[in-house]
Amino acid sequence: MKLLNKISLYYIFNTAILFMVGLFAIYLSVDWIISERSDGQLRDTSKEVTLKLKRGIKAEYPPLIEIIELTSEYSFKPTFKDTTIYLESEKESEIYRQYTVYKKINEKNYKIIVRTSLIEKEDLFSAILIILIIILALLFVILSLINRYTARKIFKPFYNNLKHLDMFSLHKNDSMILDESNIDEFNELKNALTKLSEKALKEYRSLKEFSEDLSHELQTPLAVIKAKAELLQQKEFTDTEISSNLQSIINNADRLDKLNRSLILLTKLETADLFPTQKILLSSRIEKIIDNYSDAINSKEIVLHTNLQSIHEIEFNENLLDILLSNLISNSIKHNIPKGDLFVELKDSVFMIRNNGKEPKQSPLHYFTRFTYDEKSQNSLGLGLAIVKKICDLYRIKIEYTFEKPFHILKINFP
Amino acid sequence: MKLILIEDEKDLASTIASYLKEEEYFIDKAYTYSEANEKISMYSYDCALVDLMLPDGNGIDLVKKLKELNQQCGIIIISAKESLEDKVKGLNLGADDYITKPFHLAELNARIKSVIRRKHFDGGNTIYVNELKIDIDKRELTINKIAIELTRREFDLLLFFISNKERVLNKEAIVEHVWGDNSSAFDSYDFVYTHVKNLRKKLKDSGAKDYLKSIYGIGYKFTLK
Repeated sequence: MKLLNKISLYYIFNTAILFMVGLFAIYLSVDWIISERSDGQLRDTSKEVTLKLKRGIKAEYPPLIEIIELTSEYSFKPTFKDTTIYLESEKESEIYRQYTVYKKINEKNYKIIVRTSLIEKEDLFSAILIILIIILALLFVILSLINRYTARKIFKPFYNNLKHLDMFSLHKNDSMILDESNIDEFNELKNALTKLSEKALKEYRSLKEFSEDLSHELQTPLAVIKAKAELLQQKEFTDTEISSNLQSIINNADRLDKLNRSLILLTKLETADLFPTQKILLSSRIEKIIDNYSDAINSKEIVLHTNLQSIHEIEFNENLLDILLSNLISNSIKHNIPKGDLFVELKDSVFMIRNNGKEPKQSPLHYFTRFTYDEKSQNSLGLGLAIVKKICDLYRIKIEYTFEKPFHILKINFP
Repeated sequence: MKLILIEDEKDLASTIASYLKEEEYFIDKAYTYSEANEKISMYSYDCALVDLMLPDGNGIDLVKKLKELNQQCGIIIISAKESLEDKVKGLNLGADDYITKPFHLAELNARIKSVIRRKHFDGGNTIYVNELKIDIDKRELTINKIAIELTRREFDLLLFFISNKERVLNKEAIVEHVWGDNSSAFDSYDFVYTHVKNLRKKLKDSGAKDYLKSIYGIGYKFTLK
């Protein structure tokens, strides 16, 4: 629910309660005024009737004035009373206010009743209610009109800024530029957000610089470790324990090196806006990459089926495309079974790799996150598909990974 | 052959120097920009290994200066950064090769030899090892004047072995040199065995001596002894 509507609803709800209270107050006071007034009138009328009786005129006018001669004397006090009388002429009952006095005039006892027709209370009540409801309805209409106007005018910078905020990304590396508003609260929000985005960017940049520096700093000590171990290897130790330990040092330094390089690439992809692109014929690129891997394909006796009829060209960074394709092809070989099948297809702009492989223990989409693998292997870093995903994200390319027994299927929709 | 090794990490510099010692180079070391600057102004080198990140200056400027002073000097940049920009810049300024840390010593050795060969034996880029004659530009091997058919990988293997004669080469260095980035597709590096076996057979069948010796658990060694 929109803020304005919410506020209006509260407003309307409270106004309605107020109106109810008002309704009763108005009703009670109008009712009181009317009866005060009619009682005064009745007293005047009874005095008039008494005067006329003294003069010998019996001014009867039922049901408004009734004069009843009594046989004995009563000394009741005059009383007011509401009563209902059925009118023959109207064929319905009406409410009357009646005033009864007992008088002894010219040695005769009279009971004088004067009446006046009263407005029915329900009528009064419903009249007031209708008026109030109309006012309330008008208020509602006016309020929603105002809301629509304010939402369009006053809230415009707010919604614009919301859009900026939604599109804000630390990777893009530019701070948020927000719209000025003439509402204090919105301006405060804008200032706070601008400050927040600048702070976030600054910290993100310094974190990135740190991880970049760290990665590069790591390369030198790694180089020393690797070089020292290889130097020692030249001694050709006859003790197999020494030589296998040395080999293990080299293997792990290698692994660390590859891991570090992949992380550097990932960081670069996250921050890159400067990857020069060029027109590339996809099919020939894919062929070249497959050719590079022919030894790996042959050594595992994998059966390769290619169908690269498409003449689709893309605007892409050459290096990144090679990394993307290499990672995918390399994965499809590495995770294939010996003598398995490998299908590489390019239809128009849709690139698809299908290969045999073990059934994944988790949803294949998990492989897109860093350091995800079903089994640790010496030659797998768990970063290959994370890099692929990053490259796809960078170019806004859709990538799908599914498993349809017994095939792993990777599909990329090139632009 | 006179080499200068410009590297601020003393540990790494001394390790490289001792590995290269057997190649009978004369090796000068410089740990800082100013030291390197001084040395290259005074002496003439056949090859220079330049680290780009020096504590008191940028190695790129040294590359420029080396090129101005001596066109014949082969230059290999050693960098901790795998930066395409740096690489392009370095090569444009006249560097002959670019290698990123960490590297296999055998790889560095092979690259130095390749650079020196290109610089100092203009035209005839051919290596002779006893009965083997390897024409690098044409990628041809002849044994006792008979041309031997080698696959692309086999030729690369042989050249790498010969560049690192009498050295123990581990499988990692071999795979990285011959298969490069594509090595990630292999489950293990055992496949190297098949390729070496084929190469060995071709050499032997053509009447060459068996120079390739396998080192258990590590890799291979090309030895004339």
